[in-house]
Amino acid sequence: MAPTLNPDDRVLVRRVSAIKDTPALGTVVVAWHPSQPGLRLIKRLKSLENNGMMLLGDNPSFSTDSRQLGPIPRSALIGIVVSRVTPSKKIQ
Amino acid sequence: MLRSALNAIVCALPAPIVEAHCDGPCGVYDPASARVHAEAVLAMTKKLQALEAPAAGNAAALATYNNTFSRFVAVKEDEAQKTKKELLILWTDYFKPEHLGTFPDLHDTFWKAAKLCSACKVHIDQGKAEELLAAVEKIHGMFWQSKGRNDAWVTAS
Repeated sequence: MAPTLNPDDRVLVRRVSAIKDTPALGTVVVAWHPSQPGLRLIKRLKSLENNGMMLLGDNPSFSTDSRQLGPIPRSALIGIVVSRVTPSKKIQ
Repeated sequence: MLRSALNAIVCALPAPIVEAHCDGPCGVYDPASARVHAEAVLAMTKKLQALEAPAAGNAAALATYNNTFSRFVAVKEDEAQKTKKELLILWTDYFKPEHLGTFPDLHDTFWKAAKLCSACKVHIDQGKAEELLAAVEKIHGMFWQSKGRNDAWVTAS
């Protein structure tokens, strides 16, 4: 997720249970990987389709995301990233 | 002051890890598949070289010879193409630009290995087939080193 995030950064996540509305497009979200149980993904919400969320990494040449994985089911959404704790920065 | 104190508290708390790069859709890569096909190329090359042409005038033996020769060539061609496909998957899907730091000759190694696959199709050349297997062995070493492992190179033949 460079340049937004770097390895070992800590982020604060607002859990989906606390989100009343659909996340805004462009929000960085955390979701379960559609085929690898227990693996959490952190990607940016590109668009909402009928069959799920299109999640893309900010660093396309390194990222494996909805381009390969397809739409991620809305039920896989864990939460939205509200800020980066270390180093401190508001997530745009 | 307050911010750094809060940061220290937050960082001391346990937090689950999230992944930004989760690799391929299945994430299963292994140079072993390229190795099996490259071994088959070498085996078919040796079989072709060992094949003896029949005596002149023996039509039945000539037909058998032509049939066997053609089949050996077809298998060699197919196995060389499969080797190339497996290598290209490792090159373009598994290896990432960050690996170039550790393996500056990564592109050259894969390019030459792919060229050797073609050479093994065009010729019946045991030297090229052995070079191809050696190139796959080098890629085997790079692959497992990139995963922090040191798996032994074991061949089937």
